[in-house]
Amino acid sequence: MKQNIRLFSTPNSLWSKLLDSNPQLFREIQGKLKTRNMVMVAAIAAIVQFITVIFLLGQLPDLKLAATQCGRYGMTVIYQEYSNQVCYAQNEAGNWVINWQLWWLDLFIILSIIGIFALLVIGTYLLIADTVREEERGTLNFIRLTPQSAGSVLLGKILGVPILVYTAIALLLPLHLVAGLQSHIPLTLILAFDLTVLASCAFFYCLALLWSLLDFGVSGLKSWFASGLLGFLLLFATAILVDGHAKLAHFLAWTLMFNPAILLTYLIDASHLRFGTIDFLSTDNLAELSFYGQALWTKTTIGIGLIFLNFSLWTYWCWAILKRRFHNPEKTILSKVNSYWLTAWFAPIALGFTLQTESNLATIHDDTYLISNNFIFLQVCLSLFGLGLIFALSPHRQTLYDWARYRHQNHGNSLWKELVLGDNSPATVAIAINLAIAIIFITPSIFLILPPSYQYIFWGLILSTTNILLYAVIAQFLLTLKTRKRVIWSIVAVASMIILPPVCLGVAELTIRTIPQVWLLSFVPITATEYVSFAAIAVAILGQWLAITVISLQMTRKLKQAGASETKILMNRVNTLSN
Amino acid sequence: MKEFAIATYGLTKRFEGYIAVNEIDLQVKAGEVYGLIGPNGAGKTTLIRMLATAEEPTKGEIYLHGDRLLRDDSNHLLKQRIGYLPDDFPLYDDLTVWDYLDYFARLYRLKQPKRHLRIHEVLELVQLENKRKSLIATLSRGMKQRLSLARTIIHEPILLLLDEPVSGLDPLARQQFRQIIKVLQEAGMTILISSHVLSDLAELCTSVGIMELGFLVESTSLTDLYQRLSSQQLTLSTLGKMEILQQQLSQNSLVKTWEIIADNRLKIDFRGGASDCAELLRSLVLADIPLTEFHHSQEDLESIFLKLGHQQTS
Repeated sequence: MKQNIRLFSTPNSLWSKLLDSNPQLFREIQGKLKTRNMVMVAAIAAIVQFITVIFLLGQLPDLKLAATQCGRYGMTVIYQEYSNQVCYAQNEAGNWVINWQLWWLDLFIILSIIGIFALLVIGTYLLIADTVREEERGTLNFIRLTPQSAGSVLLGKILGVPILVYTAIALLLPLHLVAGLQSHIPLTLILAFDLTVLASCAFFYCLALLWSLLDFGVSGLKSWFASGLLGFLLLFATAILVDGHAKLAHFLAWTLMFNPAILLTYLIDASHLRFGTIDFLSTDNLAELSFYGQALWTKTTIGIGLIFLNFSLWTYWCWAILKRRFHNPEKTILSKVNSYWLTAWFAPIALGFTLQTESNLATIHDDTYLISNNFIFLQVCLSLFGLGLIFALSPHRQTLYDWARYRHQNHGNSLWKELVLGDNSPATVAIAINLAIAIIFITPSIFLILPPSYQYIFWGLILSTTNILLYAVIAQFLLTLKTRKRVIWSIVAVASMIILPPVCLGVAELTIRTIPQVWLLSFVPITATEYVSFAAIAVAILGQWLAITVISLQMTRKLKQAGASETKILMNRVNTLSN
Repeated sequence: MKEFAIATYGLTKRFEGYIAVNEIDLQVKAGEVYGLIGPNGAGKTTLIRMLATAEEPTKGEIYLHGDRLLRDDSNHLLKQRIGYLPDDFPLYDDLTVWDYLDYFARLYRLKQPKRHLRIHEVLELVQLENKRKSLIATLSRGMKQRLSLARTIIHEPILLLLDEPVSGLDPLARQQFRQIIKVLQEAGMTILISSHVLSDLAELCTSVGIMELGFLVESTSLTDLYQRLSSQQLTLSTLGKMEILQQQLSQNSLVKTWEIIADNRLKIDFRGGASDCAELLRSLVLADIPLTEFHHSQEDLESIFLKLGHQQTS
């Protein structure tokens, strides 16, 4: 039963050429496509389809009952005082009239959501578990030493590791396609949906591989944590879609772009079923979401195109980072140059979703309120992005010390060039440049779009970016500690700087309105800048810069010590002893 | 530079508080079997890992046959030339011997029909042909080590880097391993091998390097090393009286000291060459000494290594 399925029926077939071109794919398929596995996958796919169909058939009227029956797939509306009811009627031949189009549509939606969850949650779990296992066992190092490119190995993993999930989904596809066509969804839209789901897989799988290549020292939990979190977020995002009444004129609606199930809105719309029969996000809802004030998601083609583009561009970034990380796991996650490009790409997109307008708002004032509210979310998002940059750009102790010791011999570049472009130098200057790029892009819109009374938002942004810089300096300083747990120490330090102040202030009942000055130093200073004078803001900024300068000087001193040659260190010790 | 299969310049690797490899300038000529010896922690494994691109050097450059070796996606051709066998050799327990080699042959871009031919060749070389359908999990340690060597040479590299390849093997498995290395040397591969079993290295190597404290403190041909540092020893047995033999030996200026190791047997510290040795034998025979044994031996590599005293870790 555990026999391998014959992979090469004909040696020159396209299939064998594909496997020849990617040895990693060959290895994964060889390890997983066994008869027993295939039988199990086929059985699971059949059971899932059977249960879904039986469940939906159970919603149909009982043939034995002659009395009036009401249900979802009826075609007759009975008007009542409080709510109308959809009931089944019998035609002249005595058969129940059933809304089969809706029945097929429901089947299509259920299969789509099952498919998305299976692909994304189980797929990411398998990928992370496999890669972490290979990394722990040391076999991945052998693959690194072969002449295969990082791209080829990683692509082989993405295509091969979840091969059993792909097989199960392939077995679901015929019913999925029939259900789609029976519910009058155009074939092109079904294919566009499938393609977008594939694009989402590409993105989440790249993210999963990147996650599995990061070294935290807790590899056992990596796969459970990541797939669990993804499953929870997907569930949450799908619940919002199914709820059908979500308010999308909000900065956070951007996150829905990462759930491929959002495309079902267009597919349901194309089936031309009566409004109100389906509890799913409608295209009218989707029209509320705007980018730089433009409702881009109203038209099906543009909407699907943008969601596809969103996945593709994020996949591109993840892929670039992955390729860098694969061959040299000791390097920083991002190169400094790449980080500038990433920020220059991220800031305009985040700003686009900040500048939302709601067509049915009564006054301009409401619009302004919505936008200013969104700026708070933008600030939080920017701060989280900044924290991500700290994590991705800060080199660790050994790299920093090597840089300090051999900088002159290895490169001979000027110090500033090294700090701005060199990958092994401290990250603080690069993070400052990244934050400056974001601020430069966001600031004009604050002054051009919002009335002068909303300028506190600008100061909130400035304070939050200097906050991030302070976190960056502290994290970088702690990463030079001698202890082995320096990564955990720096995470704990930054996390406590974010979490502790609001908790303490909350416990002491010092709210933003009673004593806003201290809230200026919290993770969300934008909420407090509205209530304080300019002088208080200036003092807070000066205080932050003072702290940044002191820690930077301390760090420079430490690096200078580390950069001294062995002879110099020895001479210093001799001098100290002789004194 | 092209004449050297391996050339490193100022190669350095630092870990936390210490320097594992310190400014090493190593040159190994093509076709040589170069033995790397030194105590545990002297930096041998780190040096080999850097040569195999498994470790990023802190500083310095590596050239293989004149081409710069870097640790990124740019060295497909160079990687094709290297075969690296680390001291731990993780394998895929779920694969059969054949599938494992087939997988690596594909990773090293071997195409059919050459791929199958080559797998048969290496299986024959490492004497695992009868195990080709066995799961790796069922192999003994010696077999796994030979399988790893087969994986290392599957793509016909021209440079082999072997880190402690015989550690943990029984004498028979070690002998099999030595035979394979000799075959590979005859095939023209340059081999850099680190081992604590110095008798094996003495049998295999053409040159040796001694590492201590992260430095390469000695790098020379084996002949030169023996010439400079090894003393020759003669073992003699006689049926006659030992006093007569000793009296005869004391007349030879090339005999420095001797040590009686049994009733009628003694060991001589001899400073002469092969012809001097023959001359001594002739003189003893002419002196009517009934010799039953006249055996010439050299001080072995282990004794030389211990005599040098390079035993500090980095």
